Amino acid sequence: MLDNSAPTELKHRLKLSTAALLLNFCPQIFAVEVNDMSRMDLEQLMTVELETVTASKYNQKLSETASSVTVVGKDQIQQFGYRTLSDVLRTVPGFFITNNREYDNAGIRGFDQSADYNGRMLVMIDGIRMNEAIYDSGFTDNALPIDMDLVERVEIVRGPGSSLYGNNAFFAVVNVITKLGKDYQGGELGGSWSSFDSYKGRASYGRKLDNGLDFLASASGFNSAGQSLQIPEAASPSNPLGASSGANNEHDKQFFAKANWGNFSFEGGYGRRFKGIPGGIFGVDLGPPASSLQDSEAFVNLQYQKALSPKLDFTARTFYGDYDYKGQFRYGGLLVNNLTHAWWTGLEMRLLSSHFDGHKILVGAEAQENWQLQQYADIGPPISVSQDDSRDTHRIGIFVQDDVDLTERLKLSLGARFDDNSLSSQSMFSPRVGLVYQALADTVLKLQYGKAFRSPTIAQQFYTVYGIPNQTANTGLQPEQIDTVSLTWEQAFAGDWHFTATGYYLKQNKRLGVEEIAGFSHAVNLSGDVGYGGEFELQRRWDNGALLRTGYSLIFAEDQDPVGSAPGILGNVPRHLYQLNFMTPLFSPKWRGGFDMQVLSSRMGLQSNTPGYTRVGLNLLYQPITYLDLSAGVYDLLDDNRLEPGGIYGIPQEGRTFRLKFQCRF
Amino acid sequence: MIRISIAVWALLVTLLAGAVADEATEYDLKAAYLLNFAAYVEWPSPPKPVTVCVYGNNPFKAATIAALLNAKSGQIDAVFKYPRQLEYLTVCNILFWPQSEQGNFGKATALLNNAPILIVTDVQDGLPQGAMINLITESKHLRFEINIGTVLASKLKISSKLLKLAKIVS
Repeated sequence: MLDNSAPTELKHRLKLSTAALLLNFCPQIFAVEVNDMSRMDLEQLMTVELETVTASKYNQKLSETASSVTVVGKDQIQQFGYRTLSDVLRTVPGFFITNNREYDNAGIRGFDQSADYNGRMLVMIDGIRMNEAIYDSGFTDNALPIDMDLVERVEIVRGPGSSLYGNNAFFAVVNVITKLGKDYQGGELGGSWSSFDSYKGRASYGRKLDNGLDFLASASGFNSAGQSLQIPEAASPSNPLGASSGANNEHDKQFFAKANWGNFSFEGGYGRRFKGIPGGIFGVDLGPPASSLQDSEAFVNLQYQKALSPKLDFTARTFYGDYDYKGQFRYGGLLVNNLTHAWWTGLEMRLLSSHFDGHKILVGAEAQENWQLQQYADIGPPISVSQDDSRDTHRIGIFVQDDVDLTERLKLSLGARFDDNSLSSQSMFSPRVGLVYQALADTVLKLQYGKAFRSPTIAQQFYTVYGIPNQTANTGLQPEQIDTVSLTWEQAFAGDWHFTATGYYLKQNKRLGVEEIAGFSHAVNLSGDVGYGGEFELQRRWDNGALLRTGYSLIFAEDQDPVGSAPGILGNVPRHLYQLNFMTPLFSPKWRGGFDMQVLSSRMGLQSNTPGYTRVGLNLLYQPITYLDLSAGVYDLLDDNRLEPGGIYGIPQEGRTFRLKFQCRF
Repeated sequence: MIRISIAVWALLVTLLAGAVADEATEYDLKAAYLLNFAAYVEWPSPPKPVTVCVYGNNPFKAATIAALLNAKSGQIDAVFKYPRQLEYLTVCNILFWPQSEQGNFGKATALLNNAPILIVTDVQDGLPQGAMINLITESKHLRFEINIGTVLASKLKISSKLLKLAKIVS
């Protein structure tokens, strides 16, 4: 993000940003405490930044966004010991995380995305789309090419986002905002040791120079031997427990760099995640040799932003992305070899005008060309190539949004986006209407209707493999669409307490699902699902840095499809979701503790039921000197999150694990 | 059972952790601006102390004002007053007119008619309605506009340093 403010108060601003805080509701929250602010002179005060969310492609106050939003800041990431984006999302109303030993997947408003690679959620880093071009995966584990230690805050917007972002902004938009060089002013080294012989190291360096150049570079590595598992499905007379070969190892790398100078900003990252697949899961052989998968994603973004006049902002960006997947799956002695590669380039331009009184008008266009989307698969021995497809595709979107101040208290937001995707004959129109009503000084009501879509992936349309699981292409797929209506009530009370309640109703049309006929599966458009429910969040932050964030979600989701499964039953929907996050200084400001808990009710699956769980995390942070952070954490303290849906018996989870971590600055 | 006990424990910790104090909000920042303006203004007869008035519904927290006055006590000698009636405004040296009182603003500036009072507001389009300084939010920062014409008419003198920081409307 560009920072055009006066560069004179470098040291001071650094201090301010380390105190960065955010609450969901406050009209505006500053990254500064009252006492610090009191001592500033006018010039310093003018550098204080108003915290805003980017749910609307331009910075907007939280209370003026018509969507239901949760923001998790870096202080929470550190004090709760969040390791991945999944760790953040599992603490947020409406979200739950499942892990199938391949990937982490986010469930949103009851809809599990395990078979979907998170394709119904748009994941961005600093506003840059991360969902890749083959499977549309929005990674939330270490395959996301950013280390969580570099994250300033995560903005989670529940509800449709296609009116601005197009494809994949279906159930939610998650934007990961990274730190700046000025947040470091030097180097930082970090390392951790955790359960199952897992080691992580990170080196980062960032600085803001007197000439205004702000830069940050970082490299991380993670290696884990992984847990040995028992998979009942793999049990045999010779291996009655189904003890897996232990090929559950993980090897990850992440590189990230960014630089801002004047009107220009550059950002790039690379992430590679290798994951061994424990024998037995999804019927793969026990091994050795083991099955495995590897995802690599790279991105580069170059952005130019300029105020053409005091009332007209111009932004142009050009981007490049690359995704590579290697999957090796062994079934009954046969090796299915999957090689997938894609790269893409694109351009986006937008204008933000406040020329007309009471209107903020955003217009923009985005185009992305996907080059040589390659899908290759062979199976052997003897090796026979069952798939070798390469094609170019593109997507083009134009969007417009007008935020209108109808009266002092009533704001209207109108937006729409028109998308054209070369893979599909159908163009998509995604409108959104939002009303924000400041009913009382401490009360805001928000009403929103939005349409969103997800296009069929190129994998669903053009991937065929004949092996143990036979998968066939379906070129006749159409995009799925969702209509969502939500009503949000935000209430501040007793000074510092903030309460948010959201009720929603959503209807999916032409849902992209899987149909299996005689051992052959392929993607189809099903008729649809309906979901409704409520999300409640209560937050408070204390001056000493303590924070309470707690949420409850009541979830109903129904399959309306007469074909396939029995109507009315949608697999693996938890009815109740309760989350509690509390962090506080302990003993002295040098000690900080974080407690987080997720209670998920049981999930009824089509093959098996998954019991509910209470997952508790504890993290203790000790900062003996300014330059050193030490922390110790335990995840799933009660050892209760033991099973996630998958197969007939469910997929065993890690259970209770530990982590020791250090960070030092120089 | 263990789930219930954890939930109870967590709730207790939450309730016990009440080190209550206030977080900096938008209006805390506006209060800080307001007090700092005093250092850049000269009145025809220098007031001691400078009386800062906040009209009507007071959006500022008492704790913030106290912290500000305390922190600036060496540099700015000021008191805050909270009049609720227009006729009391003449005692003010700086007058802040909050957004919530937007309706009466034009009436008040007409009444004050070029009195040597620095009129600051965050109402929308405050300057044409008679404000000297209008606080506005712009690209994530709090900024201000000055109407020099209104200032000159009131016989107040504003330092060039303040003018440099402001967006000027003549």
